[in-house]
Amino acid sequence: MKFSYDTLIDAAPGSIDLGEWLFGMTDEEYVACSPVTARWE
Amino acid sequence: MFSRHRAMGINGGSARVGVVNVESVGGVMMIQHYRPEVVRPDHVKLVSDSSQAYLLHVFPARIRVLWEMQTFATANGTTGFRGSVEVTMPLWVRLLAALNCGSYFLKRHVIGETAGFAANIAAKIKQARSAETRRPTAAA
Repeated sequence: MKFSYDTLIDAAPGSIDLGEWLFGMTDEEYVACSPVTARWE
Repeated sequence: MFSRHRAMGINGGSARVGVVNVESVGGVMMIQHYRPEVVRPDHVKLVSDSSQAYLLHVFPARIRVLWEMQTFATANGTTGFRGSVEVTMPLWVRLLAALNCGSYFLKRHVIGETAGFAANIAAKIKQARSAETRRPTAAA
């Protein structure tokens, strides 16, 4: 089962370092990037 | 509706040994133990060979998860951002996931988190630009 989704970031191509970003992300930031705030759980 | 990021931790600090994250997708609680396969400025690929999933938050199962993000140049000079998740699971888990609309919830989760990650990256770029403009210039 595989899904992909494309979106845009307003930044010049080549200006983003995904490795730096991902490994610099905090727990709070990751939680804030939640798809939906669950109410059922 | 029942998807949520719950926690994340980086293993190994600057050595980038791995990422542990905990999330719910469609009522399935998952604990991923990712190790990086590719870490480049335009591409990260992480694999969790033995993620622990709890179906309905109760029944345990082992699944494999591949999480990938990529950036690419677009025709209008901005940056495209692609998030992908691939889940491999045993037959009995696939059957239960099908009954629980698992593919629908996973798709919604990928769309939602990719948009969230893109917003986080954009906010950090804006913050960096703002800090850059506030930085005092050296006197000549």
